[in-house]
Amino acid sequence: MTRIAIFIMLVLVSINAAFIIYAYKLEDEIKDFKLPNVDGKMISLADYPKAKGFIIIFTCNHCPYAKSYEERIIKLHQKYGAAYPVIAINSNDAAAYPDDSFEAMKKRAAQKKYPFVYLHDESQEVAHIFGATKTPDVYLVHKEQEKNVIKYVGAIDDNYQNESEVKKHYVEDAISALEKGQEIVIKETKAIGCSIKWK
Amino acid sequence: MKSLLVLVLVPFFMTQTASVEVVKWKELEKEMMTKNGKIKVVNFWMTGCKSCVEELPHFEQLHRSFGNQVEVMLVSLDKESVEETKVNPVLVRNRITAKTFLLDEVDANTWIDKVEPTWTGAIPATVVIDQNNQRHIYQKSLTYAELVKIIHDIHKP
Repeated sequence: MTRIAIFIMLVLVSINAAFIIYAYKLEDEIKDFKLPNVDGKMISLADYPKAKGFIIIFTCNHCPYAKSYEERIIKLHQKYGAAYPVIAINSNDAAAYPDDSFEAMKKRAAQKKYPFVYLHDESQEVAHIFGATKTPDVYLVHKEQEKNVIKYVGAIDDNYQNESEVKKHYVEDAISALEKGQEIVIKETKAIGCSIKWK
Repeated sequence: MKSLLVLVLVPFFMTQTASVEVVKWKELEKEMMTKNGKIKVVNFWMTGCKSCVEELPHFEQLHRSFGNQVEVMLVSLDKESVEETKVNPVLVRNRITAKTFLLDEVDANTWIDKVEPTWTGAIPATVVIDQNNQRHIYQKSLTYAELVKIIHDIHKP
């Protein structure tokens, strides 16, 4: 019996190793990563010792849904960045989508004066580890006893088309619950986004 | 003679004209649930999604070749305001005659799970509803050959 269990575990481990599919779930502790920012510096979560958490957003230049949320991502960082900085990550294959190349990212960040870091996940490893599937895709992380724990996954709000008609501010509501020490009411949402362009 | 020619040609050109039905989720859901003995192939796309637009001709070809067994439904997730300016031109350019809808909903969180619970919301995405009402989701671009294989594998005569 134990032999069968060990065998199954080995198979599972080897499957994971082969495809690096971790796909974080709520309450999972995330592993730190190190990626280049558009300013040329390498960034990891450990660089923010004072942060209470992070708003990690898989996004990109070309996707209409990501574009639609660009201003709102800037505002999120302006409002919460001191405690919950936005960490934007682009994992798209630039060969298929030249608009999402590191050069194009630098250009876009300069044009729009991104106040947050915009990281290039060229190997796509971070997206794979998170289990990110589309842009934009938000993972709200809270620091709990020095661990970065996922507290909310999904959309920024409930209206990608029109910011003025938003009724539910999912990310903001989740942060405000964390700040009050309350349970987050909506912990997971789904939205339409552009599939991450895998190599 | 001339009028006869017009009569013959008009329906031909009419099929080249795109027509989009703007629907809410409830109406789309009804369309997806209606049984007509055919396998339903429901493709979710939008004009700004390059890989989505690139695969539209595969669905059109499926519609033209297997229309008697397969009902192709193309669901545009574009804003209603760009129906004329963006959606229609894409349909005309690709000579789409398959049934096309524009899903006029802003909060996808209310309907994504109802399409298929394992769908992450990433597009392109295609749901195939077989004759037993089982749903199969494909969260990637599909080639014509892949579509034919999917239909072949699940089709029950």
